[in-house]
Amino acid sequence: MQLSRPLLSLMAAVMLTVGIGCKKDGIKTTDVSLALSSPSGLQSASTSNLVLTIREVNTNTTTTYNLSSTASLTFTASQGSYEVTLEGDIKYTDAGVEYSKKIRGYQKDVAIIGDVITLSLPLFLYDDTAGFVFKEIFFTGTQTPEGKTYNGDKYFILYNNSDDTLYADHLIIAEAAFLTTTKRAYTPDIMAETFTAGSIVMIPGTGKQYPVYPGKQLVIANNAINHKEVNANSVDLSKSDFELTLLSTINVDNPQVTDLVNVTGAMTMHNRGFKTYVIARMPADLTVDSYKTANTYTYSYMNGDKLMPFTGYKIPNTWIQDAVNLSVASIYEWNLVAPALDMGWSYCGKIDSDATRFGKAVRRKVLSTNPDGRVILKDNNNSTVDFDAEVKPSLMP
Amino acid sequence: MILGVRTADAQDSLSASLSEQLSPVTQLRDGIYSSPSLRAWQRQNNYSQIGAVYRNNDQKLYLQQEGSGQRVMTIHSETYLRQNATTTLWGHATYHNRLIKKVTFNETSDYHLVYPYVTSDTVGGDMKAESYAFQAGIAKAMGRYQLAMQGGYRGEQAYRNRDPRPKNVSSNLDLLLSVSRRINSNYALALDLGGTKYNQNNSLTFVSELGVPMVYQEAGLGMYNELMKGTSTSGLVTLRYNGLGYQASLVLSPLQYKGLFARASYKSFTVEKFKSGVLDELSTSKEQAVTATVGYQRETTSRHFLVQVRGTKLLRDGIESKFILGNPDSSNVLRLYKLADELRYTHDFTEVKARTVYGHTGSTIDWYAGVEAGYVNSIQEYRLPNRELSYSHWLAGIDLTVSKSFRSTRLTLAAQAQRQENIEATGFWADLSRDKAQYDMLTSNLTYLSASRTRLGGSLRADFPLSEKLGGTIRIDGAHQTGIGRHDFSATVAIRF
Amino acid sequence: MIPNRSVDAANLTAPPQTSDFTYTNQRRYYSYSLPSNGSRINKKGIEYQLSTKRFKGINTRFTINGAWFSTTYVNSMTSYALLSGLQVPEEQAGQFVATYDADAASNYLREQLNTNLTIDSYLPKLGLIISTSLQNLWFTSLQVPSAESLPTSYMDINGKVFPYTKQSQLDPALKLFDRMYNYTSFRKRTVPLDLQVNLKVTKEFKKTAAISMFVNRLLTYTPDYTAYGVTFTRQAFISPYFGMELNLKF
Repeated sequence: MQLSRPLLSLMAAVMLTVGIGCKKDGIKTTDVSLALSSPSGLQSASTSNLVLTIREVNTNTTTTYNLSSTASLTFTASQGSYEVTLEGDIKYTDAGVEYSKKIRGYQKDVAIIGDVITLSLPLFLYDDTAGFVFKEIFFTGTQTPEGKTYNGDKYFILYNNSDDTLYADHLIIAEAAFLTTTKRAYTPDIMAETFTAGSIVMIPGTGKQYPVYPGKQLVIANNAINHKEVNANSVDLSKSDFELTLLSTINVDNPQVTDLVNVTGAMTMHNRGFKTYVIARMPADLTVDSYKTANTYTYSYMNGDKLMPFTGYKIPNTWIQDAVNLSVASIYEWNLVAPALDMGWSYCGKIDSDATRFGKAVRRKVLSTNPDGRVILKDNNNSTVDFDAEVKPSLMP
Repeated sequence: MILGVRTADAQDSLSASLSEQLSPVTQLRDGIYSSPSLRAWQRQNNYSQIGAVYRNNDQKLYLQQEGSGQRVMTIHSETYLRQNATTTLWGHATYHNRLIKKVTFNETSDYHLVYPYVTSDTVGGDMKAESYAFQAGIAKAMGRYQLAMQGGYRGEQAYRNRDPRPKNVSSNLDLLLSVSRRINSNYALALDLGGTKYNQNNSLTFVSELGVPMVYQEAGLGMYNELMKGTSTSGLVTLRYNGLGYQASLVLSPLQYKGLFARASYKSFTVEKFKSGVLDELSTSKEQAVTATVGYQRETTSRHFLVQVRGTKLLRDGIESKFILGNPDSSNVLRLYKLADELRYTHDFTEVKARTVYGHTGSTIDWYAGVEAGYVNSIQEYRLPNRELSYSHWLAGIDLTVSKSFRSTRLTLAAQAQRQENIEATGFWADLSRDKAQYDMLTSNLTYLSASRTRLGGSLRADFPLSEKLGGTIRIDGAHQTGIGRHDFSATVAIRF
Repeated sequence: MIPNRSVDAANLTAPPQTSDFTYTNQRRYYSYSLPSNGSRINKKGIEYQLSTKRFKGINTRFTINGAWFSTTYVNSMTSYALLSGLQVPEEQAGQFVATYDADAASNYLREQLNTNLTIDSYLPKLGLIISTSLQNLWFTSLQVPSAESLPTSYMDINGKVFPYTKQSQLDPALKLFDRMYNYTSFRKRTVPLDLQVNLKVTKEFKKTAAISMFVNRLLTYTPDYTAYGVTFTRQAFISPYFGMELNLKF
């Protein structure tokens, strides 16, 4: 065989040079220094028992750090998109009185990238004084035994979690204008101070017409009728305390049950649970029209290169007594209230349009029962831990 | 596509062509001469055939993502034609209709091209697939050179008619340019350069009102991206794969089937996966493969001998993107965009295989005997959390083919026996809880991959004349594999001309 | 609405009659669509075709055709709107009819330019016909000419017409008649280059049978583009379309 030497060495060279390129580095990490900033205006504040939790949302990996009361810390994390949560205690003095309160920090969609990064986490106090809370929200409704959509049997249960008699007059229940499953850069961004409502209903009254004693509840039905007469899967809501006025095509009025006032267009509770609900109190000196005139506002977001403007209604956070975010795990994107009002979210159904969600509700957990039998519900302003998800509605036999 | 262009040849040449085609030495040799610019020397005889094949196999142990067997109906036609002293033409056209049985953890087609980045749910089921493929090539002699090109296309549609309902359309477009030079009277050196464009579109829908399973974007060894799981609000998942590959080969081959041969080739293939609504790629898999073959062949009219050793090294890198919901540009539009990417998955595959065949023809009976031996090592790793699935095995086999003419009918009987013995296997996924479906999937895959097995197979083939210019073929194949409980059966009818 | 006091529901023994109820008269507007001929479409354009002879050496013919089109749609009809029970409390729904000048927001101007190239090769020795076509859409554009967001007037439930003024915009209900068109509503949106390559190979058997394999969208080129600071991707999810044809002549 006449194979020349240069040819052989050429082939050898080819085989060597195609030797496969070296591997790149695998996991990239970032050195993070996190600065915590206490709420402004607090006198001689000191923090303790701080627990920081970071969760990378692509990989769903969670790391927890227990901190002393230092104002900042450094740690190393793999690059990614993080949900950062901090819980702890704070002591401060105001007018010579020392207060011990709970403190929190919460941020979502935090980018940790690069070799070194500095993040700041503003901490906030949250109001843990008891008042009216959502005890239960039945937003999914039911299907008929034939599997058809059924309207009108959704409800709210409001609960007096305090040890005082409270009046339900002029309480409003509002449903968010936005979706927890679609985060947008809404402009102007007013979430730190207000809640943006799409629909609002209000309990009527003179101011002291509807007392609710400690540990007592109000059932607010969509249509306050006995739905079991037409749908065996449904509930009897004929003994409700109040009812909504729905869209005229699905509204059934029970003359025995007081209607709430529709402040806006009719409320149609989102049956896949993409919304947030709040309980607030309309100031006594405001009429519906004067509230709307002062609080109607236009917001917009960009959809591609199109500016999409909408009209909504503002509810100041200071009016809000309770808030519950609802979403669905597989498509959850954000919460629709400031984290001081609700840092978590509850759900019925783990994926979008989950057919198993019908006939299920979210219900606030019980914290304790007083010696007098009064039940105190858990209200930690974090629906993820305050609520039992996917429970059987309490009014369902 | 070029079938039927043969000018009338005598029955003699049909018979010579058949002898060449029946030889296991030819089947091995074809690999060396598959370079387009060496095609002129690939066969001594022109041939064309059109045929239909029914094939069925079932196995008890299997790779979950690839299913427990297939039932395939194939219509195939091919042609090899040295048209004149300077022009060689070849081509084939193929239609497959496949039933792929019990595919789970994978709703995507072409697993071997896109793995580990498939879309999955825990339901799965049988898949149906129809594919069309055609390829054509031409080589022209210019003095000491052969200039050649070859183009091919494969299109496949795969679907399932009950929930979950994937509809996958995939296509490959291949182009190979090749030049060879006769370096002396015995040898030619060929260089091939080629490119591949790959594309796959998937849509996954559910029509059941009774609930929809979770849909995962797999990342290898049972991992998936948490942000990308689930369906869109319309209950639909739409995905797209874009692949691009290139290859280069250098081949040294004898011209008269006498002498040493060698082939070295490098292949690179990169495929990116996209999900509707997300602009950046979810993942990229990059595969690089080097194959080297060396061997010796010597064929005379009655004696046929070939020995070769082939080594393959394959590295596949799986790079995952990490996403964040935010505002990546000045447009103020919030969307999921890529924040970083990381090499999380690797597959390192090594194979060495030696085979030799000796045959004797021209006496009362034609016979061939072959021996083979091989070694395979495969390591799949995932990082953060650390997981591993690896195995290695050796294999050895023998085969015998005998062929004899009874009047005008020629019968060919072949038998093979092969033993594959597992050497080592590792399955490590300590972070995964036992009640997860992914745990069972990985365990089942490891059991399959690490099972030692013995394969016994045989075939009977009858070739007979149909007319002056046409020959017919009927062939039955069967095989059984212990260890993985696999049965194979196939039946072929073909017309040669 | 307000708890009913005219029927003692708790002590009913028979279905109540409508005459048992006290009532007030309420009126509201409903709307329906009426097709009428108020729109105009203007189309103009140029079409061309160029076909070469079959070049001998390569047995190939080239055909180029294409067109430029411009379509204008104008609607000059007055349009009307009501407020629904989703926008305002039910008792306020349908209490006003807003009147807008011509519904200019449905007007548009659409333009497109395309060129196709077809290459036909006939190889008689092999009985092969290879046909490649390149379809190229250079651009399409769409623009809505400017339109007025606010109604010109509105009518109350008594049929009295008022001009829609700055004062109307402060009313929580009337404010909702503002269509809120903005600077992005009337942008010209141009989609650039969209190229696709189709291939058809036909093999003839003595003029009696022909088998063809075709692939539409064998290759596509639809590059991402940026408009008004936003990146648009298009190449996503375009599938090739392929198949076989068998033609027999008897």
